[in-house]
Amino acid sequence: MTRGNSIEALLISENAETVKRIRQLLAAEPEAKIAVGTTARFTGALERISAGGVDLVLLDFDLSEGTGLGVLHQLRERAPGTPVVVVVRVDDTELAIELLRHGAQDVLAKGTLEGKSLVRALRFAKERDHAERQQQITLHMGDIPDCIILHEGKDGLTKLVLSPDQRFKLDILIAPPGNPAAEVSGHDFAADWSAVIPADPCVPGQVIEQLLPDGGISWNLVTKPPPPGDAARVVGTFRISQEATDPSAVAEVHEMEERYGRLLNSVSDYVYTVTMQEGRVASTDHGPGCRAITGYSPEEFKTDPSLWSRIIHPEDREMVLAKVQQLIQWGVPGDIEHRLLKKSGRIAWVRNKQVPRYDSNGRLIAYDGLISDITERKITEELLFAANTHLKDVVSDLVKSQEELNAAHLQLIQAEKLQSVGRLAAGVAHEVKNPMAILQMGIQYLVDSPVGDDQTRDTVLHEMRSAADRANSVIENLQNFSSARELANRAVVVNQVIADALQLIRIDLTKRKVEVVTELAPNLPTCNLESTAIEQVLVNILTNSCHAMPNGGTISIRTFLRIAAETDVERTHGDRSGRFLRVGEPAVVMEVRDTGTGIPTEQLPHMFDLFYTTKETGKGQGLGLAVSKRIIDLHGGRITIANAPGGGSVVTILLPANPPTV
Amino acid sequence: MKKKRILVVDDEAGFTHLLKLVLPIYEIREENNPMQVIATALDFKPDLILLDIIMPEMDGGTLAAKIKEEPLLRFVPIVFLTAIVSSKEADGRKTIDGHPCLAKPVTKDKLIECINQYLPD
Repeated sequence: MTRGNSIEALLISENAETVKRIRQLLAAEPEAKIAVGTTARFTGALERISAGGVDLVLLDFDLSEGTGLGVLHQLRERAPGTPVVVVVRVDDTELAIELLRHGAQDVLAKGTLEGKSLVRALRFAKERDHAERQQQITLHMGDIPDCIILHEGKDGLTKLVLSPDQRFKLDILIAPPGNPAAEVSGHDFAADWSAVIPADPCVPGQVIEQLLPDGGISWNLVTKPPPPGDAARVVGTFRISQEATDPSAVAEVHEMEERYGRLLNSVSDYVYTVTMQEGRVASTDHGPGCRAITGYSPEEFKTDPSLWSRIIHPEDREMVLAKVQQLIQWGVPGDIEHRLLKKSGRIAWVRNKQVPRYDSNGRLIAYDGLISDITERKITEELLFAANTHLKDVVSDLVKSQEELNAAHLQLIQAEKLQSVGRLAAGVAHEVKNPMAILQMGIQYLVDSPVGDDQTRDTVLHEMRSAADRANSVIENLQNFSSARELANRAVVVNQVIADALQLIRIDLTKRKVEVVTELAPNLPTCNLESTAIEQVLVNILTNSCHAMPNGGTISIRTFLRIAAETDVERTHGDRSGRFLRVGEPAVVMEVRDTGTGIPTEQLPHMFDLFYTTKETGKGQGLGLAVSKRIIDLHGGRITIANAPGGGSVVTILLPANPPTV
Repeated sequence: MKKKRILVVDDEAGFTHLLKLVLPIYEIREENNPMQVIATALDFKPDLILLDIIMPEMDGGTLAAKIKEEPLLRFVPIVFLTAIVSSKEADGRKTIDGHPCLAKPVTKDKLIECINQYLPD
């Protein structure tokens, strides 16, 4: 018996020389722990082996009482569990193979024997033999049925159960005859039996799934041989059942099935073929993926050729069938999207691509189609469409609001226009009616006293003429203001215009004791302007300044170039000049500052209003600044008025500067 | 019979001058500076005041209120004579702040009619 790594070997040899040599060799390898017992006779050897404690037999092939081969046979037969290593006199390969075939574990030649190789050979022989036996046991175990059921007559049921641990003890459980439902040792024979198809007398090695009492599943290879004797008088059947798979394999199979099922249920594409015969549909084959998309199995489609056209959504059917007709008649490949009614009643959207297939004669024999489930895409599309529609509504609402706003804006502008017309009317009334009143009175005087004194008469006529002039100038200014005049623009440096304007009112300035200080930037770029119009603006502003300084003062005029800022280009609505100052573009600035009374804050916003005046009747018509603004607007510029920090007011005019000439 | 005294207040000297020439039947005093009106009126003691409305420094409405505050002037009738109303509006029945109102330009007859209507007896 093996104790740890040591080996108990039994040497069968009649040759003292051989025995001595082997003992010497093994004694020289004490770590190998191989003990050698010897016997000269085969009978003695059998006794020692059956007594136990022999791991291995070393057989000297040259035995006198028979051939070594005979002894080998006897040993293999009577002590199959003990490996045999044969020692031969000559190294003969043919003989060695022969011996191995007859069950020898190894064959060693006496002449080449050597300590280490002998030890290794014996050890290998033992291990090899052990492994072979293990293998054989496993093989045999696989062949042993787990259960044998014998069915006799109607009720008789006998079951031989071989549980794995019982296989070698061969405990036999016998179910009592006449009581098939009775349980013996926890085995339900009736349940076992019901797993066999009773109607089928013959089951040739079928794998049957069986539910175990603990809820698990066992797969059994079941063989039910035909009953012996006359089939017409069946007296019983028997079944041999054997577990076919180990539990992990079952789990694997299940997992595979589940995965396959999942795969099949989640496929979004499948292929189908419609076979044609003489222009008519002969058969339809749908790939297994059809189950996931349509809910119908390939078999259902095969047995019911019109099923396919029936499950097309009624609203799409005409279109789909027309496409198919085109395909059949003209060979036009189809690529359409339509709805299907699934077996569950739900609607699936599919893309259906069809390609015709022809035989060598050009006859249509079939068409192949690819069905792709696009339901999700369609849902997304519909959601997108809905979102888009909503967005469109929102946009159209916005546009509508914008239009309403514009309309309101226009109304506002209109109202403002009406307001300015009202203001205009009132202004005109006041400015014209006053001279008219003078005229009226003058005429009355002339009527009343045709022969009055000439001096009074002259005074009256002078007053009347002056009144008529005033009325006329109001009307003319108004015409200037309202006419969309074309400006005769030329490239002019504003410094020149300022000089001209100053020249025009030079006498007035002197009379009013107003000093003018100019600070005009040299090398200013030109502006496109009508000199007389800008002159008019400057005269207006200078006159205003003069009026603001009844006791004289100083007017400072400055010109310079600056880049138009955001605050410089504020446009008023209704400005349709099309030319205006843009942010970041150079502008020529004219600044007119006086040392006058300044402007009350509440009046500042109205300074450019038509007929807005702070002056006494006859001195200001409320036209000057309004007309000036109009003129500057026409030049695409900007005019502002403010109170100067140190007192007095400051008027700033910006005009777009021309690019420098090369 | 003593001429009725009329104080004409208007910043337009041309107008007041002509009015004086046209209405010799009344004793007319011109005043072109609204700030001087109270002093002039206290001095002149008019039987009626013709008052312009749109004037620099003080408008006719404010001036009328000031006149009514003066104990010696409060009973002097005031007639507005202004270009800011139309003749249709001011046919003699329209009033501003309780005072009758005439529109410029006005005829001599209309003016006399109105003055006589409001002159105290």
